[in-house]
Amino acid sequence: MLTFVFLGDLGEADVNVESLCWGTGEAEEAGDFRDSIVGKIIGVDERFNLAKTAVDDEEAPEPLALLAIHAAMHMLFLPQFTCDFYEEEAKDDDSVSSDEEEEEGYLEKNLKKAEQEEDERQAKVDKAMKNEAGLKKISYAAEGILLQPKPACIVWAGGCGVKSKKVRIH
Amino acid sequence: MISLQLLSESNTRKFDKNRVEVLRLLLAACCDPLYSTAEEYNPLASRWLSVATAADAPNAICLFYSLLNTIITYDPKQGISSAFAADAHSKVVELSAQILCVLLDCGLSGSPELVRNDASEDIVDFEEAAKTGFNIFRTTLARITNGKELSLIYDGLTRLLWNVHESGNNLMPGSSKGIQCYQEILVLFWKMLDENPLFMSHILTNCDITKIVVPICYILYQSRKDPTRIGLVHICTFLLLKLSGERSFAVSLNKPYTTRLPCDLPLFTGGHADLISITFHKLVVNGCIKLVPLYSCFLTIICNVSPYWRKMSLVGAVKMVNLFELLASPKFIFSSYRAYQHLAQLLEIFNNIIQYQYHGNQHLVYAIVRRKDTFGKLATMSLPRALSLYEKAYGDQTKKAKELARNRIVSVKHVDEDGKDVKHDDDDSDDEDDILSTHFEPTESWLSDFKDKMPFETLTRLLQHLVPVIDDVIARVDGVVDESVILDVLKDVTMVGLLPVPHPIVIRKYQPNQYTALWFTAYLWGVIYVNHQNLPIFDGKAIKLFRVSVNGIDKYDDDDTDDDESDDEYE
Repeated sequence: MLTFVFLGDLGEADVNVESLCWGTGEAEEAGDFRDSIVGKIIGVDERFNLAKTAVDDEEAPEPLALLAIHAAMHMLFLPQFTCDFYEEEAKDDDSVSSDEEEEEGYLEKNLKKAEQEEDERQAKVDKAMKNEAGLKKISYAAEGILLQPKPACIVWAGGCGVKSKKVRIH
Repeated sequence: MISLQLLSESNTRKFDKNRVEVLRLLLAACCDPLYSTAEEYNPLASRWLSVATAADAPNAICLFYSLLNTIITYDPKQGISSAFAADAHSKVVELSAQILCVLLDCGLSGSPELVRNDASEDIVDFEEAAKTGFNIFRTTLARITNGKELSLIYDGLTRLLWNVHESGNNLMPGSSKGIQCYQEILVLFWKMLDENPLFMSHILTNCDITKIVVPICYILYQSRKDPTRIGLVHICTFLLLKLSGERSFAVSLNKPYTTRLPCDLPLFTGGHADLISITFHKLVVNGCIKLVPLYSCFLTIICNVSPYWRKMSLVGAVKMVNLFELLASPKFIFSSYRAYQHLAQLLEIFNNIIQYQYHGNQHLVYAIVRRKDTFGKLATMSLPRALSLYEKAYGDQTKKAKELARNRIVSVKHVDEDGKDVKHDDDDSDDEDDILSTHFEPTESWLSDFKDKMPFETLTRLLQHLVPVIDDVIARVDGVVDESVILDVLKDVTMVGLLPVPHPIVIRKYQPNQYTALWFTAYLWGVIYVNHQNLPIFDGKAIKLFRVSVNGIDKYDDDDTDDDESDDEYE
């Protein structure tokens, strides 16, 4: 279910611009309703009787402004225009296959072990820090909005939140 | 191999150019806060921004990490050649910082509560995402909990801010390129402190916090005289104020300061607390008049760190006592009814150091002893003395103001036939009002308030004990004495049992409020507006969030006004 709710006002809008950007060409009644809940947000706001107006329609016309913003956000990750194109990896992280593991020498293995130990130490520190900040409890949900970049390979630069080997650090 | 690398670099340049264009488009689409007055501004009102920060915005998480990583991985020092070549990537960094700040500036704060799915991936549940004001960028920022990533962000931001003075600190002029987006980086740093509940504690315990203090002090120092950079001074002050509320920040400031900044900062051997106090001293004695409302913030910052200030440098000590003397001058103390509050803050600083860090702070104690008369006169202030000092400082002006006020009462030229006030072009009544309202004659009640608020007891006891001791040392060598001997004596003296029972340490913490949030919004958009003048993307005539002026003249009041873009100012 998708809704948008806006509060407040940013002044008087030009009627024509308003219609061009936020109008959808729907019937007046539907248009009035849509003006108040323009756009899409996943979920339901109980203040609006959504069942009556059936906003979950995939084919309902969308305002030009929303399309423009969405288009811009797509264009920021357009292969060979704003980012490299990579095949999506089966795994976006740095894990290595068992074959690769066998080929590792003594030095690499030790290095990897040291890294793992460091990661474990860091995890303990992070956990203590979270506890101190009152973020001890982790709740689980079957579904939701993922907060990890997918596919990670289209992110412009490595650093935070990206484990893919194919993303470079400038 | 080389051709592959060249191809990759050429691709990156091409991508950067395209990214710049699309980011500009996104920035222009999300600029409607500019067209709302500050009073009416509502962070939830922009439909464009709501669409861009909604849970279903395409590639939102990829965009968040792309913008953030582009900023924090940028190293302006990488290769001397980049200093001479036009760098599309620096433009991407600048726009990334602007867009990220804008996207983090709308909607409501993200919840840091950890929610995961069956695959242990961080998610936001649908119910949360459907709430009014949900902002996926703020939520993602609030949910960065990995220590390595927080360190990476801190190191990236400080590297960029460090570049501000490093670019001017080279033997070969122009060899290091200075970044243009340091104001946006400061806003981003603020957002990190404000939005992520772990960032502050992480950087205070795991990172070198003095790395952020040095560039902030440098920016403060360099901006002090320029009225167009008043916003920059504000944001730096807010950052220090927020950090100073933490004990570990104050303790970290004892780390020796060894950097050489490319400015006329007095040379001293001390810690970073000295750097902060010397900078604030300079801002008070040699800053523009618009900084006066910030004096209280400056002193609060020093006051917050003072109980942990282990060893004040000679320069720092002299500057602090000089500042006390300046703020105790009749001209300042009678400038408003509560002007003495600054003195009370300074006394609190001295008391904190004397009570909690006496050993190691002989320079300050000696500087106080040397100015014992200043402290003594204030501690024994009487009404006749206050009136006499007031008369000396403002006597002439008060007489003039009273004369003008009397003339106004008996004059009929300001009143029309209906008895309504008439404003004349040469009317100076506003000035009179200013004079009469800001200055005041000291009264018995003022003196009573003054004495109540000034914590002189610790200093008085200190002086009562130390002055005879030092006089005795001087007398023994017939008045010719090396200062180091006196410092040694002060070091050996114990004040235990002589000073009052130590007072509790009071830390004044920054409290988030809507006015500061609004100020940050206006500041951010002001910076963005000024940085987009070469190829304007905003309608300057319609801007309401702040006043656009050129050289102090409102830019769009008069159509004939010269549009000198380089000197744009926003307030």
